[in-house]
Amino acid sequence: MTTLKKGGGRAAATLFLAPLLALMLSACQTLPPPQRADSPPRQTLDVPFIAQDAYQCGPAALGMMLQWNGLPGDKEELVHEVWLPERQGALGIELKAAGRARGLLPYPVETPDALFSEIQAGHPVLVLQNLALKRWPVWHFAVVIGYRDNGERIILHSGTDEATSSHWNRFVRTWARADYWGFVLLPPGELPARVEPEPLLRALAPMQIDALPHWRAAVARFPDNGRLRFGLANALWAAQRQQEALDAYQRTVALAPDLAPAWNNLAYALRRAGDDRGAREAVCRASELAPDSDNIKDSVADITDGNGC
Amino acid sequence: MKKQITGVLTAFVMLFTQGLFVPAAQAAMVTTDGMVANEQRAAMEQKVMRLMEQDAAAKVLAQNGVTPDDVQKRLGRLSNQELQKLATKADQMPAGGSVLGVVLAVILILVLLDLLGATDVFPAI
Repeated sequence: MTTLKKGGGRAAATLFLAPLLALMLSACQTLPPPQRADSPPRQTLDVPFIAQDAYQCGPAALGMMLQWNGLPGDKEELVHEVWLPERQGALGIELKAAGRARGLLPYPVETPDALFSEIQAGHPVLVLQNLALKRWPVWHFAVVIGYRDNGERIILHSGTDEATSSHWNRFVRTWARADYWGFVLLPPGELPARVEPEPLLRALAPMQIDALPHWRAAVARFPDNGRLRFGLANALWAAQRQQEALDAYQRTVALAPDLAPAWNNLAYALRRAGDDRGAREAVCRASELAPDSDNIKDSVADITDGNGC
Repeated sequence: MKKQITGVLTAFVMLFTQGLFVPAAQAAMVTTDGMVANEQRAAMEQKVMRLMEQDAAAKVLAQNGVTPDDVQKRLGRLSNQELQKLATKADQMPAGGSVLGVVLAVILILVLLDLLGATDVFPAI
């Protein structure tokens, strides 16, 4: 990218430039792709391509992720949904929210290792890149659809280029300048290759539509996690499956006996089932665990008919 | 009908509480989103309060006639969004280790909380 002028005053220039050059060289140290990329040494996913119009890489990238999920990903409609004219761009959180609104799970992919894991599991990854400088950013959304040469080259649907390839080294710099921001967008029942319970909880918690199959998958993957079980119980309750919800709340408090919100909700599920005494005991347990919570104070008043614990 | 009411309530709750613990008058079950938001809020408040516990911070507070309790009360009144903004600002301050960093961060927080009477950053308070 940078060329040094040859010619007069060369010695002086060398003297002056030497530290600068050393700095540049250290900055240009190559970052190898993670070892994970060795097996298999290449992989390309079949992801529909949508070319972007001026500045509209966000809607185009989202459209590709939706179409990969078998949903309509009409770019023009998505422009209305996620593109902000005054910023001439889309916001990352809006892209995730748009996926969530369609019942898809957006899960963060924020390390090179996770990126390759997801590609190997067949999941395309929407990434944010900063194509310019940290202080003078040029943001760009693209979809990573594969890699070859043991990860030395990464394959992307980017801008107007279908399945274009980029040196890993160059790609990872642009991705690092965007704080390694990226995510997979998965259909109900499917989980990321790399998944942890807490990020999964945070990814699923705001989901309003078709959340139940996602929670079921989460609990199947982490059966001993009380907090995910709580999410499942709430999703069952929201789906009017009260008996199943009651069972799930009971499992939750067995797995996570210190989780005050679970005791609170168990109280309501028990009351609905006609067990007033059990409801009182549960809400009082919640109150012991979280004496300062206004919500639980109200619950105690509600469940005990104002008598308190 | 019931579903409709639940829907309206959910929209209402989301609009006004941004996923905080839901007042029982509206719905007494705690949503998963509400639990997560509540925990994140508690963590942010704790972060600010831990900063206030440092020696350098205590001096700044004393000089301005402000107690940690005042700070805690003001934090409690912020919306999630406001608290998030404040935490981000505080994070940007190089508070790590240096006394000057702590002092600057504390002053910034006091200004943002309007406890120094210098500005009116959050007019709602």
